[in-house]
Amino acid sequence: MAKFFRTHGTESALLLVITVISLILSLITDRYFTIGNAFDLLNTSSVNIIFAVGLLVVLISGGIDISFAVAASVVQYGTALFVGWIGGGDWAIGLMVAGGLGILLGSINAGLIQAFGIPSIVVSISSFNAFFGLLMFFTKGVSIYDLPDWLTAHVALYERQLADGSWIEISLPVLVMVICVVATWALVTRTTIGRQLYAFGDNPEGARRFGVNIAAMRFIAFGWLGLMAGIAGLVQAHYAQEVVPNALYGREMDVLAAVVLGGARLGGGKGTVLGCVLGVMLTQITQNGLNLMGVSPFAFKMIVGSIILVAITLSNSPVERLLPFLSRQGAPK
Amino acid sequence: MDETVGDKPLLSLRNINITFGGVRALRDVSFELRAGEVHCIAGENGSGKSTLIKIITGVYRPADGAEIEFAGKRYAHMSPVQANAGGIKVIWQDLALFPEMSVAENIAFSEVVGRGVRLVDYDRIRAIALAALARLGVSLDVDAPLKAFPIAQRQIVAIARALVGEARIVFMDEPTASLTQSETDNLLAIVRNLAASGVAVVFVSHRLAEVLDISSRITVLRDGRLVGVYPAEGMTQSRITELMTGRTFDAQVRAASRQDRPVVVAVDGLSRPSQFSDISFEVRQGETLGITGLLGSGRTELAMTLFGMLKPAAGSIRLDGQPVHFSSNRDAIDAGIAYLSEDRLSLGLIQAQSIADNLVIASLGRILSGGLIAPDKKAGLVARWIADLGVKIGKPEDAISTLSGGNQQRVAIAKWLATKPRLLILDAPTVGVDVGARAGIFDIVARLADSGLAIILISDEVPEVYFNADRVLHMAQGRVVGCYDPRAYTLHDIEAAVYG
Amino acid sequence: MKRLLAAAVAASFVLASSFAALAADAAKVGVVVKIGGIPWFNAMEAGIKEQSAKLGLDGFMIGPTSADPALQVRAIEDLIAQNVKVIGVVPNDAKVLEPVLNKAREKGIIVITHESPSQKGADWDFELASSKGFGEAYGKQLGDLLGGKGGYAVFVGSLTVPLHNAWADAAIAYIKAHYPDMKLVGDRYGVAEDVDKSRSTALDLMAANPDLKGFLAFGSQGPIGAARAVEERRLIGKVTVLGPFSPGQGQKLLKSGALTGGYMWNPKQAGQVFVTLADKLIKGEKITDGETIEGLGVIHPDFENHNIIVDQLVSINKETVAGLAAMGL
Repeated sequence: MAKFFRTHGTESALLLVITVISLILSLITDRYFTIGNAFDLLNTSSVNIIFAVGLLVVLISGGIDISFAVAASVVQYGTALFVGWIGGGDWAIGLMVAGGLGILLGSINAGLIQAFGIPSIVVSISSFNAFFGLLMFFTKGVSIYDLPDWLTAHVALYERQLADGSWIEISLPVLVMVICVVATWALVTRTTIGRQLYAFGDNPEGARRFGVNIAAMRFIAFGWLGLMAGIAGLVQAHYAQEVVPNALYGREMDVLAAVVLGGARLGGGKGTVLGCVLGVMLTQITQNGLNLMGVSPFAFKMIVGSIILVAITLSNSPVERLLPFLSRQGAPK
Repeated sequence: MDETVGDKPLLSLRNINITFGGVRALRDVSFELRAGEVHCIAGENGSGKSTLIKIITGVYRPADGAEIEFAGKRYAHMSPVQANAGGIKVIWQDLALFPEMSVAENIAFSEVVGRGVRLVDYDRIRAIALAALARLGVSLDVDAPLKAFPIAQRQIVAIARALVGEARIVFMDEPTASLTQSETDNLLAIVRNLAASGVAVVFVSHRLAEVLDISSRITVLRDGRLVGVYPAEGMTQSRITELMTGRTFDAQVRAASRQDRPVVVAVDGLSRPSQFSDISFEVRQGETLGITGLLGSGRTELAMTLFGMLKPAAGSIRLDGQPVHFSSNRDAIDAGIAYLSEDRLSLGLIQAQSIADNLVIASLGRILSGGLIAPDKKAGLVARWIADLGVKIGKPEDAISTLSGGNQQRVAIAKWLATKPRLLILDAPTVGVDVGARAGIFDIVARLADSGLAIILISDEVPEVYFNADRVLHMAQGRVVGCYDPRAYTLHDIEAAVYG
Repeated sequence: MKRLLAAAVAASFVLASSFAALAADAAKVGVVVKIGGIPWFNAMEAGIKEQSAKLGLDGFMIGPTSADPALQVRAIEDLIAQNVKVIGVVPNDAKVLEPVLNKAREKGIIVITHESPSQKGADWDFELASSKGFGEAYGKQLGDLLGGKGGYAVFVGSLTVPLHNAWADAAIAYIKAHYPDMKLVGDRYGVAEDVDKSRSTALDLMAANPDLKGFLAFGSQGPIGAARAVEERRLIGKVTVLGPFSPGQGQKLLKSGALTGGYMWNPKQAGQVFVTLADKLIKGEKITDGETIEGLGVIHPDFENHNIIVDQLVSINKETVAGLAAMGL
């Protein structure tokens, strides 16, 4: 346990902040510490968490991408058109098309970075504009409300009516999110590819000398993010029950902030799936708590900013200093 | 590998020629390596050491006519894959490690590369890492991230990594460059063990003392040609220096008495908890005070305190008899103190910027005109210092990283001289600098002292302070434990006291 | 060479995403709306195009990628550079646009705004609903539906959108005066241009306030998001959601009862009015009290503040929604 705190400074700090916020919220609101609210948090965070774990893989590999949210919009639209065209389809086809399109868009980014040696930030700014511009151009901004039933039908994995008559439920996006999180965790910690991604992000030259296939690393990282973005797009269309071309525009910064908050380093080699999930949860819990507390929305941004600042400051301090009882020996110099 | 032990060479190269952009980097060089030996390649920067290593490891391809024989097989050239598969391992100077990953993964990284996508077998990785470390007789927490360890341990991790798989030849390029004396001793012991187990070690170092200490044979290169191969037995540092440079250097004690000169800086009872305590000394105009001691002796912390970057807990610093209290190094610079840091590459110079910009960065105040940098004043200052210190450069606009270690060091000194200091603190000024260039740097130091500057010269290499300082303070565990006049003691006396 | 090629590819990639409006000889009328790509403004664009064709003008709409006043400023700068005759704006932030609108007028460009009464820097602002009349209509409907009891929450597009806030003010004041037993939950929430945020905020508010019986959502996505939350909580029939929304988008929700309804004005009609007014002003005609203008009816302009405000409300309910949706709204 003590070892976890030492080796997972960022995650511990986030857990600490989340615990403190949760304690405060439990004391001052009746609603926060209820199973129903926990379910709400899961339901509403699912899409962002799916985006976040995808982005994490790119950050670990030393890249950055801001085009994934609009890529997800392109995927949503493309998938909706495709299933409309084949006359309906089902979840399996939808997921395959969305995932495939996502991987394709991610590979475009990876291909540009690899072929021309352009930094990933520049490539993704370009592709962000290109994806979104092309989407708006070809769709003329027209939304799709007529989606197949399998996509829009509400699926509750678990539902229950409480004594007071209200309903609580866990919906399909949560299941998809859990699968994406577990798959990403397995990829980065349990497969040789994942370890090469870390190594490549940590010291690209060192990895190259060791015979790590640089091109493969880029395609895997951006392809994985593309896959996650495609799935997230489909899931968002599922619960929104419509495809609005700019619905996900602007989401990239929220997700990027949460992932970096979760300890991933811009520059590569660092970041965990747990931290990434906690980063998203912290931002979500803050928003949820402010709503539950009935804080004036005029103060929201100020409070969210301060909490992020506190979390970042804590996670950059050695845990030994914050929790001195954990230290077994002096911190390494 | 028993059949190769003995006189039959494990590796031999003949007729090695290679040309880069019309320049013959190597000319008819030959090289020979036996299993179980520690072999040093000595030469100044540009002598062709690195090129030779890169040919052996397959990075470069020699010109036609080369003969390479490795473990009984002949090659016209070797590919990196062949070299690696044959057990030729390189520990690069930059180590090529992954700081965020665990020690175990760093050592057994080859386990996760290639052969398609597989699940990671962490137990196997740990076992490999522990076995490699055990072979070196070292124990480290293999689960901790590498970044938790200082450079000396990372060096050991890099060596352990080279041993994974069948290592027959291990190249070590300047492995001791950023290690202190005790860490170096530790590393050399490991290298000896390694050689004793049958591995051939090729050792490249600027530090001639350790070259003589560790190696059995020394191949000397100069200007891309082979000077000769010499047994280490009976060789001296000055003889190697002569072979490497083609010139002779006579180390002479420069110490003199400067008791008649006014005191520039006087330190009395200076202390910082757990770093140094009760330090007192004076430095006079034109005097060079040497401070030596092992890592953790507090020498660098003392220097940073004098330079205003750390605050003393007790004691006083007087400059020209007046007590001073620095709240930052800006105050110290204004008071006429200059500090040339230990880690020149990361702290002293801004590698990506030009030589000119590096020169003026500490003295921007003197080249301002109406609050803005005046190009003519800047150019004048730059030209003067480059000429004074004999820095060999192309253009002042070139990036500092294009210069050799010795010339970078001159620029670093010039940068501080441009602030017109009265006290110059040089902390390990010769780290990573060629032996020929070292002499040049100490000539500059002597000239500066003669011009009236007070100098504090810090080094963990006792000979440097012995030959170049007027007095030598020995620090250990934060205290001054000895003060020597080089004219009254032999080098051996002081070395025995410091390293003993 | 490789670098050059790389730069060229990157540049053309970006270029591919932008496209310029076609030049034409007819007088140009450029309308900058809050955000492109949402049905409301798609309908407005249809109105602009239709009326332009009828009056022989080159009318077009520009929709920024997000509801960001800075993007509107840039779009207006572009229109000034294109020498348009008339600039129409549906502002995201009245204050931020003031300088650039003044700049346009200095160049002799006529400026017409919509959904921003008393906009500084505009020649005329027109409203198809008075903020007071619109807000009060909602306040009255919510009060009636809730029987004058229970809590309600108010969403606006953003805390800085003046019109939404004026509606909210009028609705809240009306409820306070006529239904004193109703209670406003929290302050107003600036989420109603984002369907996901409206949904999660509505979920949180319903959870925190069991007494919450109604939502007033002013902003195109707010009613949709709140209705989704009501549906998710299975509180259809127990929680009322009112607000202006796009009938096509809300049709299903309205039929299921998750979305109760609302008032709107017809954005297509607003688009037409932009062009009709532009045409009139280009020709140098004066706006006079009591005259009848196509799309506005009889007008009584406020000459001091340059406002033309009429009440052309359209009720969205189960009966009217299909017809409105068929118009592409």
